[in-house]
Amino acid sequence: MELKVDSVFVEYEFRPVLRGVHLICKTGEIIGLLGLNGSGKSTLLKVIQRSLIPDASFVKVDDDVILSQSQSHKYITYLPQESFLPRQEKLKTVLALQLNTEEYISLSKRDNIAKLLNQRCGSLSGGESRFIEILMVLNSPAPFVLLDEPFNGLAPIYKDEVKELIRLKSQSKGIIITDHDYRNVLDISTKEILLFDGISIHLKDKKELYKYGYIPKPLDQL
Amino acid sequence: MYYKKVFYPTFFITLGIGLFGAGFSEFSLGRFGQSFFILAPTILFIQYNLRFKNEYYFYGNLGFSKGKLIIYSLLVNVLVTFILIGTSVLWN
Repeated sequence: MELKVDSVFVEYEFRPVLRGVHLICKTGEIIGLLGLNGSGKSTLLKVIQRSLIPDASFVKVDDDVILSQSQSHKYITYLPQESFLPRQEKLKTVLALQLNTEEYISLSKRDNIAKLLNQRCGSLSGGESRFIEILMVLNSPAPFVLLDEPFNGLAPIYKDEVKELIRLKSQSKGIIITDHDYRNVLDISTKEILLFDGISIHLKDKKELYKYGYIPKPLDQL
Repeated sequence: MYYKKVFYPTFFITLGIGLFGAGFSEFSLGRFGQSFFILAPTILFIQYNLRFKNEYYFYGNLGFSKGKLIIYSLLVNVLVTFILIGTSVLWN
């Protein structure tokens, strides 16, 4: 399957944030979406998921043009920057809603999840809740997953587990990931796109990150 | 799940208004219904635009956009109000 995003123009208060951004993500790929603060990474992910519909944008999965969230959820699952679990609901209720039966059973058997199933989402710690959200979106039936800062607030041991899971799930899904923890992103990405001055630069080599001022020194000197 | 966070606070506040709104004189189902109709959209705004706005992404992943959820909630508000005011009219 192929997710095609084209001609994304977004402006905030007359300041252009994205100017004709385009990308293609195929199942089996992990796209590392990088950029400085305010470069429009989260905005782009919201446009792709259709929770934000700007003046101009085009999103398509195979032959299906995606115009709204009602359509996008069949193909795209989105992990926002901040926790999105309904705080007053029990974890088992939330997981049952988002996952199919098979995935729910498999996740609820995990030791670190089983003990939390009867807790309300609001009582989970920031790290626990982030980890569960990541597991939830990666195990959802949608073939494309958008991850906005998944490593934020995660303990190092969980970061490695999440990276492994992203690699594993990318065999059948297309994944777009953005995070300021660029080393972990570069560890798993198969393609890198840098948002720079409102446009998308499709990097041929990771060394270009220094050329465009994203990192302070060449990668081999960091 | 979405409407629970609107219904319960609205219900208990308006129940209070219905019970005590006329200086503890008598419970008014009609006043309860009118208060519910006015208060429910305010509670919805406070809950989902100020307190839990990120939860819209959870519902978005299930295919429910913000607009759709707000419209459904407003329709349920109208229905609840009709039931309350209708019951009040029949009672009297």
